[in-house]
Parts: sequence; structure tokens; C-alpha cells
Amino acid sequence: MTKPHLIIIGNGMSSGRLLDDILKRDPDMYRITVFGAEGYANYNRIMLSPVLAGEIKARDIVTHSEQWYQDQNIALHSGDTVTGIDTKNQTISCQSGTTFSYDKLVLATGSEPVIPPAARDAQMEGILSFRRLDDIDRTMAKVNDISHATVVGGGLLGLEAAWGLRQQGLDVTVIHRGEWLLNRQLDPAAGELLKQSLEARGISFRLNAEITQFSSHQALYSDESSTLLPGGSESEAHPSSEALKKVFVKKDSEQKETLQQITLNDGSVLNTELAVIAIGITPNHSLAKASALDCDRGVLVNDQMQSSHPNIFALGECTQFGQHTFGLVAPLWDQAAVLADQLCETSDQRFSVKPCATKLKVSGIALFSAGEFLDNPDSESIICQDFKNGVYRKLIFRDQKLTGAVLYGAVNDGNWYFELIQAQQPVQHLAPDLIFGRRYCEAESITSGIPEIQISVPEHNSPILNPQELSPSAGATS
Amino acid sequence: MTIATRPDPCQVKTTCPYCGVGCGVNAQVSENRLIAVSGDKAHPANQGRLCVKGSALHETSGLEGRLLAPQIKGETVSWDKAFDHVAQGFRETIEKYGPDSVALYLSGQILTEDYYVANKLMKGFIGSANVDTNSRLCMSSAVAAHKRAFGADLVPGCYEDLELTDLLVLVGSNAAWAHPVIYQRIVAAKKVRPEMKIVVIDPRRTATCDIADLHLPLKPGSDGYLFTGLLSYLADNNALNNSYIKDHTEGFEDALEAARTLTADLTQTADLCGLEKSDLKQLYQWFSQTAKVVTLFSQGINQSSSGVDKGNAIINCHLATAKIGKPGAAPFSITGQPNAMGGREVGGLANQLAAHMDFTDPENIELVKTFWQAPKMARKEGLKAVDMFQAVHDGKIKAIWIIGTNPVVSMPNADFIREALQRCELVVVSDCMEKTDTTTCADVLLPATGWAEKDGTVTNSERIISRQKGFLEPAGHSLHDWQIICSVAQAMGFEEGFRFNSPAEIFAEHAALSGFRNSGKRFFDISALSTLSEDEYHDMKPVRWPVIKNSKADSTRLFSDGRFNTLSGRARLIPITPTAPISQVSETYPLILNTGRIRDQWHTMTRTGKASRLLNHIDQPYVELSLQDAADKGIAENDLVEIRSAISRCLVRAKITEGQPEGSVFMPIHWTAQFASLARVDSLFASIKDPISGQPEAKHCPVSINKLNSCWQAILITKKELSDLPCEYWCKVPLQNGFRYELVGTQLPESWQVWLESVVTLSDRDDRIELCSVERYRLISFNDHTPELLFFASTDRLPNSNWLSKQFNQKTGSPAQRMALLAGKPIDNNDDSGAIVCSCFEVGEKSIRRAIRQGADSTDKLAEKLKCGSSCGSCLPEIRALLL
Repeated sequence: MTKPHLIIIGNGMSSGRLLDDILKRDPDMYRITVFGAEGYANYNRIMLSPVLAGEIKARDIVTHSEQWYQDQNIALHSGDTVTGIDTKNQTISCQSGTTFSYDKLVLATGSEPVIPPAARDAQMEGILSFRRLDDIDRTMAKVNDISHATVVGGGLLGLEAAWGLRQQGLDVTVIHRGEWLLNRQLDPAAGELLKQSLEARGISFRLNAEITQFSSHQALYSDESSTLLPGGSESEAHPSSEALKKVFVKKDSEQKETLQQITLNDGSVLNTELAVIAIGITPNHSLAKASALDCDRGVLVNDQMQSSHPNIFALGECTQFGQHTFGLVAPLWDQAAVLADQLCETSDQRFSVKPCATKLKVSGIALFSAGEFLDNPDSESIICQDFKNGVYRKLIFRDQKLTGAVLYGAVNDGNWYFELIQAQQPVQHLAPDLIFGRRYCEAESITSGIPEIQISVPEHNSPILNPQELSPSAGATS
Repeated sequence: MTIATRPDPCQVKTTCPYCGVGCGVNAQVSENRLIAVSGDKAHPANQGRLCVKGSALHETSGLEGRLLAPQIKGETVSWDKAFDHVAQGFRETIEKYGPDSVALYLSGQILTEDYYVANKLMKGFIGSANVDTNSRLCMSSAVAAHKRAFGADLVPGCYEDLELTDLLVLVGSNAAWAHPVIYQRIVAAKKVRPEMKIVVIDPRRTATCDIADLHLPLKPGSDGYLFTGLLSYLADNNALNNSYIKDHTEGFEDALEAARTLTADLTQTADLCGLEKSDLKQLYQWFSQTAKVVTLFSQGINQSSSGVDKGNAIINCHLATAKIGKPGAAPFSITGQPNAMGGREVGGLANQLAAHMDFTDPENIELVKTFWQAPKMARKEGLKAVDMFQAVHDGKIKAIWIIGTNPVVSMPNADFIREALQRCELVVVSDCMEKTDTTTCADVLLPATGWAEKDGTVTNSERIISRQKGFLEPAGHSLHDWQIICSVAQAMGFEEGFRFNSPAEIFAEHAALSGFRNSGKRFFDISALSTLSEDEYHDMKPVRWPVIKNSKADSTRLFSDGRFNTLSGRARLIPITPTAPISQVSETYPLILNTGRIRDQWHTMTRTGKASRLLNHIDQPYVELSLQDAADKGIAENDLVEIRSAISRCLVRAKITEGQPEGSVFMPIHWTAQFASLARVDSLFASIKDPISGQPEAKHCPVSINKLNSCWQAILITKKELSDLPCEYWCKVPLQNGFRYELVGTQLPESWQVWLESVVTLSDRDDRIELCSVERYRLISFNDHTPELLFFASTDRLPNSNWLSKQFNQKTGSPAQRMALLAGKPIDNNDDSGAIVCSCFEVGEKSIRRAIRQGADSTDKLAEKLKCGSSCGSCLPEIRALLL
């Protein structure tokens, strides 16, 4: 009896995780074929910044080598792009001209970096994104010849890129539209501490700033009608394309010019030879859309990861679940597990969106954020600071429950706070011990002249899926 | 031997400066520092024992807080200028308004020699008897009772009697806390002879009751009834010693008749005392059937509007049964201060003249005038303490010199006393401490030497004169009290009479006066000591008076021959009609406030407050109240409560105890405005006094108690000495290297930081840790890794303040240690999980290695066990490396 054919389009992290999950459940159920556009074996995208920093080699981040696919009898079509889906006949066609029929099809086409029009239209040598291993290759190819790089975006990915570039010996300036760094994860105080410690590492920052022009030499042409952008009330991941469109750099020849300067919205000009764009991602759903699957911002899926077509599923950053799109690793792991169960018929687990926690992977900088991070009129917060050691911890409570944690400098018990945020049990009675961590809440209070309140510590929850950043996607941490 | 010629280091035998037990102390001295103390085994009072206060003497002899130079209106001046200023002030006042417009107010803590020259100056040279002492507040009722019964102020027995007796009745005495060494002697005796009965008569069940066979929790102030009732019972139960009454006493019939007017039978008496009849009968039976009875009485008897009568009611019972003048049998008044007895011997009280003589006999005045060659003798009694300060307030006394005491704290109606001093034209204060509630009212401050520097004699409660020796150099420019007094006397023009070069010379004169034209008339006679040389005086062993040349009489017990110091030679029984305390409870003030000492503090804490160890026992002012009263008022342990009397209020912590009877509360006497915002207990008391002794009724004050609705509380620890903090309640607790302040507020400050900065100067923000929320604020600032300021404020609970105090001035290195300090909890921060490998799950290298040793030999197994590497996977290369 021939096994049903499972085709997975996309060979990124969620695809790799899905394969692991299927093989764990039933390695013999499907004949599996995987298409990967990037032309590499499967690698851990989260680890791109240490590769850029030179801390590890590209080969170190491979999670599933080509040999692995061979060993598992999985057909890997690396570097071939799927161009169409025939949902009626259950076939796909590839750039190479080949057609494959499927029984089940999984779209794991990932996401694309958001590129502001000013950068896209500049079409210049030296403007790169920070998304794929080949982005890193291109960046690495340049670093020895230049002295200054600009990173656009002060989110998690942007800061990791900036640190990687700095470790390559470059002067780095981060251009950030927000009032403070990681303004979707941190409050202003923690953002300031982060800025100070990155500045101490030689990275410069321009906050409340946007690039209005990318230019080569001194030949600048810009739309004179606007050099200022409207204020940044929108998320960095979804920059106002209207506004960005107003800034347009004309090219006076077909030949690609080399980036030499950028101009900011306050009119200041910065000499730079490399601009790394890291302002967000957008789901890559063009194939699905072209194949008449229901799409909005991403491929629409239900809580079994099923698309509008029953035998077609979607997974990862290309998906949209309700209003949510995804950019952190934890929900992707959830999705992979749900989908593996669907495909292997092992359980009827459903996907749901859970809160996420954030960490920054810049060695020596400890940072944790989960849940709410800004004070609200109806919330209370407790803040603990060690000015000398750069420690800042804030917990936010609402109705006696923990709703947010921002930790900087000392991130102990971040995961525990994350559990408490999810558990939504009253914990305010644990304050102020709570802010010092779990051990302080569990430790016996020494007897005092002051009457003690009985302390009870919430039970440890079932293991949580710990999130890790893939890229700073819109809405991912909300 | 002078300090300069003494070997170094050395051991000096001296006497403890605290209570009236008068323990011998061995002081270990090195390089002008007192480095250790121990009890003197050879001293008859303590036989080697020391209480906790005594054993902390070396912790209180530092220079912190000492007054080191004379000051006039806050300006430091030379001694010459100070002497002239005081002398001129007194002289001019006397010239203008007469001798009774000036006064001296002395202390039971100055030495006999100091007392002697002060008394001599006032009564023989200025010509007024306006010299009184804080002994008025503790002993004067007993003195008056002794004089009425025995003809002179004579304590019949000795401490040994407390051990030899078969029935020890403690009344109005919490000896366990107030006279700990005596108490320990009693405990030891009871252990050897468990059949020895101990009865404690006290409204409260105090620590002293721990060894009692019977505790009689009588109604506050009803002691008089109990003892007149006893006299009635003795008479009715054939327990009198009729031959003794006949041969050695007078006034028995009248006394018995008086006793029977109110307390003729047991039922009546039990009712008046609020006692179980059976309990009372038990005491009466024991008293009747036991030949050797000692009744030890103290402030609970003396500090009463009928304190003298109460003393005599006790003495009456002992006289009627001949339980006096024999081993193990005596009425025994125990004094509160180290030299109350010395002051009484000198006659340094307004109603005494000198050397156990008073003003009633003009011959005495002539005798003393002759002996002193006095130019201007006082001829009548002066004003006793309460009246003296009233006269200051009234403007009748225009210049007062206070020596070694703190009346703004210890006198009743203490706020009135402060006001009196503020009104007075010239207030001179001699003290060893610079800042007390009284020195802050002074125009002139004169620095006196402290205990370790002073040289002279003291007399304890059992008539033993002991040497107190100066073994440290005087602090700063301080002088001995006798030197200061003699210098002022000379500056006033009394050149003759005050040319003393040493305490030995003063003591010799004092001893000579006791024997001058005495020939047995006055029992107080130490004339045998009037010829001591300087060296003999220096090395004088503790000696019990009388000390008369060629006398074979044993001084151990007085009256063993049945002869008393009255004209007839008979003891007098005094007819006593007991009375209740003057003030009674009302709807507004439904509780009776009682006062007393606590174990580890002495008087107004100027010295014991310096030893942080002595605050470990009790660190804040408190009120003790019964379970029922607490429940009625919704008061919980440690709540801050307001105690109100008709004239003032205090804020203290609530201490709820079973030992406190319903309807009465208890507060310690020690806390001053230097130590707490509102805890001067004597400010609550009206100036009610015994009509004979003038001793204030300091154990009985109607009050109300209410919980203070506090909003926040805080702990502040700093090196800085602060007072008048801007909050409802504050209390200062000295630490080894700083102070802890316990604070309570009724209104949340708008900004904690601003509030704190109004109290202390904060150093640079850089080395600080901080915690803030609406309900809480914590700040610790460091200097060279050492916390130099800790502030913990909260609307609910606070961390343990003792633990925080211990962290003050301790090196605090790691960030985790700093956080533990801010957390206010001792947590072992030596996390042994090692450097974090998996940051998603915070798994450390050591934990991973441990798991590998235990068999987790793959990344999957490790993930299953520790979860490490199972999320983002970033750490998997490291984990794989650990697996190799």
C-alpha cells in the first residue's frame, strides 16, 4: 500500500519542527517531500546574530542537514520554488517545471522583511535586510571594507544585528522610530538602561528618528514636498507606507549605486556604508493568495492549522490566526505540534494564542519582558532598581494579579513571572517579595515585631512553551 | 593611687552605678579605656554576680554624646567664665530675692561627697534648704515611714536576710527586673530551701512572680488595706508578740484601732483589695505562723499619695510580731538608685538638715552651724521636688541648678516641669551627657565626669558604703561634681568651707559630722572613718554603718537589742487609715496606668541607651494591657496606641499580656524625647503627692487607650542621630555603629523620596538600590560596598528590623547580596546551578553536568529532565559540548 504523500512548502524552522514532530508521532505514515527556496539545509534562524557577530559559524546553526533528510527518506528540493497549487487536482508545480501530486499539503512559506519604500526604491548597493543566511553572507562580505553601518529598527532583531555588526568592528548607529528601544517590550526606564549599556558597547542611537533619504555620493534627489514623516504612532512593523512613499530617491541610472549617506527626518545627515533593515516582517502568503486560498494579512488558518481548503494546512510566520500573525518561536512550536497531531491523527489538540515573553540575545545583556510593560491608570506597579549594577525590575498588577514583568540586568525568575501572568491567580499578597523572585516568596519570613501575613505561593504550573524571538513581527508579543 | 601612676592594664574594684543593690564591679582598664567588667566576688552585695545592665558597663563608657565643655546659652566657654556666671547669677538672685529664690536639685546617682558639698553650700552658706533630689521620687515615703517608726531613716536588715528568711513578701517590687542581682540571690536561696515561701503582692503578674508560691494581684493602690488588714488578723489570731509590743514599742493600741476601722475582718479586706479571700488568708496565715519574715517593699509602696502610711502599715505588722532586728526578719525598703542612701545620710533633701538630723530640733541647727562654721544656716525645711518646680513655674525660684538628673522626664506633669524651666531666669545643669530633655532647657551646661571617672563613695540599700573609683581620665574638660560645686561656692565668696582637694577630705568631714556631738543620739555614725588617710580611703573595703570607734556592736542588723532611735528608745506603731489613690477612673479615662522599670534600661536611658545590646530585650516604648482590654479596643500586639490622661498623651506600642489585669495598663518609665516622639510617661501624671513625704503618686493615673490609625510604618537606619522626625511616631534605637529609627505615619507622603530627603541627606544616586510602589518605598545607599543608609517604608508589613540592623555597616558585595538586602530577607544567594547555559529555562552548567552524571546522555534526555535546549535551541551546541 502506498503511503499518502505529504508535501511541505518551505524549509524554515517551523517546517523542521513539524518534521520532528511527525517523525516522533508516526515516522511511517507519510511519504514526505519538502521544498526550500533558500537553498540551504534547515537552520536555526534565531542564531543568525551570533553568526553575524562571528561567535559561531554558519554550519553550527544547522538543525537538519541534507544528510538528515536522506536518512529520514524525506525528499528535499532545496533551491526550487513552488510556483502554483492546483487545489482541485491536488498538485503543485515548480519553477523547475516539475509537478507533484499531494494528499496533504503544508504551507510553511514564512515571512518577508518589511522594507521601507525609501530603501526599496533606492535600489542601492549596501542596503540589506537581516532575515536569511544569505543576508548574513552578503553582510559579512562587506564588513571588512567599510567602517560604519546603520541599523534601521531598534527592536529585538535590529539590536541583535547592531551588536553583531559592532562585534565585526564597525561603528554602528541604530535609527529607531520609537521613543525608546524595544518600545514594544520595555518601559522607558528599562529602554534607557538598555540604551546606556549598548552605548557603552560602542553603538550609537538616534531615537524618534526615521530615514528620509538613502543616498550615494552627493547626488541626492528627493521629493521636496516632504522631508518629515508623521509621528510614529503606528507600529514599526507596519510603517505607514503612505508616509514612506512620500520619500523617494530617484535613480539617475540603471547601474546600482553604493550607499554613502542617509538623511534623517530632523534633517541631519549621517555617513554610512551599510544599512541593515530590521523594522519587522510580513507574512509571505503570495503563493496561497495566487492559489485562491483565503488570505488576509497572512494565510488564514483555523485552530487545527487548516486553510480554507481541507487538505491544505499552513504553519508558521505565513499564517494568520484570527487577527494574529506570528514572529516569535513559541507559538510556532505550538502550531507544529497541533499540525503534527492533525496529520498523524494522534490527538485533537487545538491551537490558541498565548502570551509571550521576550529576551534579547546580546551576550552580557540580561533582559526579560512578558505581558504588560507600561503603567496604566488601572494597574499598579512595583519597581526595584540597583542603579550601580544596572538592575531594573518592574512588575505590573491588575486586580491583585500579575499582568506584566519587565526585567533588566537581573532576569532571574522571568519564567516564573511568565507562569504567574498566565495563571492569573491573585499574587499581590506576595509583594514586595515577589519582585525579588520565587525564592524570596518561599523563604520563611524571619519573625518580626510586625505582624506577618501568611504567605502562600501559587503552585508551579505545567511546563510552559518558552517563546524566543524569530524576528520582531507585528503583534507577536501582544 | 592616681590614674597616672596606676599600672596599665589593670583591674580596679569599683561599684555599679545603677540600682540600689550596689554591686561590686571589677573594671578591666587598658589605655584609658574600660575594656571589660565582671562582678566582684568579694563584695557582700553581689558576691560576683552582675545583671545585664552592669555587665554592659564597658559598652556605655564611650565618649559618644558626652558633654565635654561648659556652655553658656549654647556657646562653649572656659570653666572660669562658667563658674563666674553661675556664681554671679546665684549671688545676684539671692541678694535681690533672698536665699529661697534659688534651688539645687540633685540626684541619687551622684556620690556622697558630691551630695555633701551641695548640701553644705545650700544649707550652711546660702541659707536655704531648697535642696532636693530625685530620691524624692523614689525613696522619700520610705524615709518618712522609717523616721516615724524608728526615729530615724534606718533600714533594719541586710540582703542576707532575704536568704535567711522563711517567708519573703515582695510588695510593690518587680525585683526580677529592677534589682536583678538581689532577685538572683533570692532564686538561689529558694533553690537551696524550697520550703522558703515567696509571696508577691503586685497588680501585675511580673517576672518576679516566676518564683512565687503565692501571687496576690491586688487592686492598684490597695496595699495599705492589705497590711492594716494583716494587723487586724494578727491581733485576732493570737499572732502578736505582746511582750515585744510592751517592751519595745509604743502606739500599738491606736494602730490596731485604726486598722480595725476599715479592715477589721478578712472579707472586708479581701473586698477592698480585690483579692480572693482564700489567697489573702493564705498570706496572713503564713505571716502569723512564720517567725522569720521579710517584707521587701519598693516603688509600688513609695510612689503613692499615701506612701508613708503604706510603709508604716508594713512596719507596724513587723513591730507587732517582733519580726525585726533578727536574721531573716525585717521590713526592708529597697532603693532604686545607687546612692539614694548616701544622699539620705548626707541629708541632701529639703526636709533634712544633715547627717540624719532635721530642722525640728534647733539644737541640731546649732550643731551643724558650729561644725560647718556656717555663715548662714537654713532654719526651716525647703521645698520638696514637686513644690520646688511649682515655685520655679510660679517665678518664686529664679535660679535652679540641676545636677545629674533629668526632671523633664522623671517628674510628674513633666510638660509642666519643662515649661517651668523654660520660664526660669537661670537654669544650670550639670550632666555627663550633652543632650537630654533637661539639658535642652538649660542656660548653662556644666560638664561633669561620668561613672568611670568619678571617685567617691556610695551607700546601697543595706547600709554598705562602697568605693566608686575613677579609673578613666575625665572626658574632655569635665570636672567632678564636687569640684564644680566647690568652685562655684568659692566663686560666690565662700572661700572657707569648700577648700577640698580630694573626695577623701570631703568624706572625712562627712564622717566627722556624723559623729559630732553624737554619743549615741544618732544611729547614723561613721565617725570611725573620719580619720582615714588618702590611701586608706582609696582602698576602703565595703563597710556597713554604723562605724564607730571602739564599738563592739555588730552593724549587720539594727534594733537587735530592741532599742530604736526615738527619744524613748521605743519603736512607734503608727495608726493608719488606708486611703485609695487620689485619682479614680472615669468614663473618659477608664483604665489605671501603672509604671515601672524594664530589665535592661536605667532611668532615662542616657547611659544604657548607648549599648545596643541592652535594647535587644525591649527596643521601643510600650504599654502592657490585658487580653480583654485589647479585645474591647480592637488592639493587636504591636499596634501603635495612644494613651491619654487628663493632661497629656503618649504614643507607644501595644503589648498584650496575660499578666496584666483587666482595667489597668503598664508603661515603662525610660523613654524620653531624645528616644521617642511621645513616650514620656511622666507627662501623663498629675502632680499628686504624699502629704508627708512629698513623693508623687507615680503608679496610678487614669488613662484611656486607643489604637492609632496609622497609615504607614518605616525603618530608617543611619549613622546620624536624629530627633523630631516629621511623622506621628518615631523611636530611636541605638545600634553599634548608628541608629535605627522606627517610624509610623498617619498620612502617606506625596513622595517618599522627598520625605526622606527632608530627614537625611542622601548621597549620590549612583550607589543606591531602591524599590518603589504606591504602598512601599525602600532605599539603601552604599559607601564602598557598605550600606550607610537603609530606609524601608510600607503601608503594611516591614522586614525584620533586627536583621536589617545587623546588615548595617556590613560589607555587601555581589548584586545578589544587595538585592537580598533590599528584599529584607536572608536568602542564600549562592546559587549552585552554575553559569546559565539555557537562558530560556535558566538552566545552569552545573545542573546540566549533574544531570549528565545521573545518566541523561543526550540532548533529548536533558531536555526531558531539565527542559534545557528545548525551546529556542540556541544553547544546544553548548549542551552538546557538555555531553562530549
